[in-house]
Amino acid sequence: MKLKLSRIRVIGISATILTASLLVVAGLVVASGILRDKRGTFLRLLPPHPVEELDSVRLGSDSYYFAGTDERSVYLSRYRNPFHLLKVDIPSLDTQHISLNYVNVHRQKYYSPKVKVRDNHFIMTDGSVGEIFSGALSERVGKSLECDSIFFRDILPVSVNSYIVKSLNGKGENMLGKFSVTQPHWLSSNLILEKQKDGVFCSDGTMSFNKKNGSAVFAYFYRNQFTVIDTSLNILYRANTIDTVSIAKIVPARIEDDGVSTLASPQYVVNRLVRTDGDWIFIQSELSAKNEHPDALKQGCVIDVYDFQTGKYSLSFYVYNYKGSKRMNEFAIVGDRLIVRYGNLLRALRLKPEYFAGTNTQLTTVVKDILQDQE
Amino acid sequence: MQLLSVDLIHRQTDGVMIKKTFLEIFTALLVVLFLYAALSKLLEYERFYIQVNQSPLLTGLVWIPILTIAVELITCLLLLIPSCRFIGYFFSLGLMGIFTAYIVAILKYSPYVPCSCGGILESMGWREHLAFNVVFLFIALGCCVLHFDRIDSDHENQLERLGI
Repeated sequence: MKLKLSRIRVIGISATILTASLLVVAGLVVASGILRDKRGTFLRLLPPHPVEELDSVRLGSDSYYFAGTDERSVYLSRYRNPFHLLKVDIPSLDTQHISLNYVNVHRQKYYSPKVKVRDNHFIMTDGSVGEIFSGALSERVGKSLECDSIFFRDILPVSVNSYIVKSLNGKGENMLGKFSVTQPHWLSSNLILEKQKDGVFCSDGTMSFNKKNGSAVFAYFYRNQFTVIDTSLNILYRANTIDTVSIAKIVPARIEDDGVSTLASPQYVVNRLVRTDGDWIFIQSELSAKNEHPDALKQGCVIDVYDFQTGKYSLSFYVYNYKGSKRMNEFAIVGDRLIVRYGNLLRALRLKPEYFAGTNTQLTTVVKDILQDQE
Repeated sequence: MQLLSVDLIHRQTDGVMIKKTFLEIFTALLVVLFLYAALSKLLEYERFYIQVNQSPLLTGLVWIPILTIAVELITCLLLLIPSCRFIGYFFSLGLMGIFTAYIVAILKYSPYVPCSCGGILESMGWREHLAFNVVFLFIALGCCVLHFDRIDSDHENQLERLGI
């Protein structure tokens, strides 16, 4: 038997089906809560213009990333090209290309080599290869540190000879360790990173070294905590970021076939990136505060500033998107300059001294005065 | 007069043939698409399940992965059975409608774009994926229309109607 339908009926049925499928997806959108106001219950101090936009400079490529800073410059290297280093002078933004060489390097072993700069020295590593090349920027030649292989997920040079690494312990969980060229070569601590779920994602985070204070800060990606440690891996203090996510919301999962750990949930990032310099810790947060515009984080990124000595919150400011839609990829701090990278564009922002030159107590008073004035 | 109407029949027959060919090609495309989509998801089910849960629109909906695969396979089956084919076309249209609307929703509302489709579809960007889906949406729509056009203007019917 053949069902006969006129063309009008067929089109009518098709339109009904398409409307129904639209409704199904609309139902999913509503049920997922993605449209809900996601602002938290916490507040941000947002004084008017604590940073001021200055000049910018174009880089030749999108593939640059920050390799390190010193008092007067920021260094960038390129993904998959550890032979190239770009030195950008601050505040002039003059650029200088530096080519690096390595002695006896097996290039094919390096899938994602990274270059880092600290104290006029550079290192080139790939956490899965286990070898570190190190050299002085004046000589531009990296030599292998003859040492036992160390494998890591992130490395933070704290001096010419020592590095804090984020690595996995025997149980496959995150830990921090310190590798030194001099004795003792290896130091590790299972106490710094606190496990909440799987010990891999829940305790993962971003880290940065503060040269002035000789200590490092580790901020968790998925919860509201950061920890400040000295270079012997002693905990100086733990502190909370201003938001309320004390337990990571992610759902860790494992694909047994591939042996890969992954997430079976959206990413729910709290702290995207931490950088510290001088008296401050700068944390890029992904969460909106109660007193922010609901779309504020679509127009820019928010950076919360904490006092390095105490971990107390000071203020927040926005780094607005480039041309409205290009979000900041990463930032670095050189003295009173915040250097922001948007793809292949570097922009300098000035941290205004009335907010950032004094101590935290002075600053808090300034901010409070301003907020009172606003009221 | 007699000549003219014979000519008309021939021309219409040609039209019917073209429609029939198009319908066959479109049907084959739909079968291949859904079979491929379902099998690539099924073969790497664990991965697919996790990826679905990474989507901010679908997280926590544990039945979505298996339901998607099941509906894709059922659609395939319906398209392969001649007497059920028209239901298959409507299923295809509904599926493509949902997939396309889903991509639009992800691009519009999601703070980030998760990856989710298996196999070769995974290598496509989301905008290409949207274009791909829109094309298949129209193919499914074309199938619905052509299928009933054909019954309506079936060759024998034409001849019967003209009394030959």
